[in-house]
Amino acid sequence: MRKFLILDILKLRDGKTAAEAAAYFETAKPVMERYNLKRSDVPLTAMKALRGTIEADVVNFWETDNPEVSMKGLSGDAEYQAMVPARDALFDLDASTILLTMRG
Amino acid sequence: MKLGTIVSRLAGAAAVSCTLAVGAWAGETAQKAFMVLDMLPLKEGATLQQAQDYFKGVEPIFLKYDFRRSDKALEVANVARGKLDASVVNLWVTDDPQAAFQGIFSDETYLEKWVPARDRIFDLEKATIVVTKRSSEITTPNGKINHP
Repeated sequence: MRKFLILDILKLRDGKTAAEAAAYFETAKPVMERYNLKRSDVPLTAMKALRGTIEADVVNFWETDNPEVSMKGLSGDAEYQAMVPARDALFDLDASTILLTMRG
Repeated sequence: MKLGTIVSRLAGAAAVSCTLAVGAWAGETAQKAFMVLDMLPLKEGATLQQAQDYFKGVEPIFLKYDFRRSDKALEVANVARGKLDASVVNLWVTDDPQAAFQGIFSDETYLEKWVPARDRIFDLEKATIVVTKRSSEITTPNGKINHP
């Protein structure tokens, strides 16, 4: 179990589905693992916000020991860069929430 | 958000100790159908230690209603995207969120002992709670698979 957990709480663009999001992450997984970003649970589908005004359709957890190194590596990876158009077509990142948390 | 800012916040967060015991979530919770994301801001003056003590106190009560911790208590180091206000995050799993909430919110010990503490520690007006459903099967470019 790694020290840091990233909560990826994502809003889908109109017409996109949770299955498409899961397929995207399955494709991206080997690239993410290259930078020590490991999935921490199965993909989650948001059902209901009981409190707050957050927009969420799908949730994914990623764990790492070093978020800075992981994110720098991932963002500079050519294979990941090639997936960015697909990511941006799927997710409304402006309406999404990403939390970096630390396991106690 | 610059990485340097993230790192500096992480360094500050690293000074905070957590005392919650780690449950055996990998085995016991992996099969639960729903996960609840409980993202809570602290009230001014309240501490992470008070939050941890509160969760340590309520966990046995929550467990009675099939509402169990899925991961360690998480301290928010950085909101990298979005405007969510949260200091601590807890991940809970259950097979029946409605039954779990009904049980918890009618439990006398919880209502009498822990709700006042909860309301002193957390700013629930600004809290975010999301119920999610776990996928057991996902679609890949090569077809459907069961997620490990």
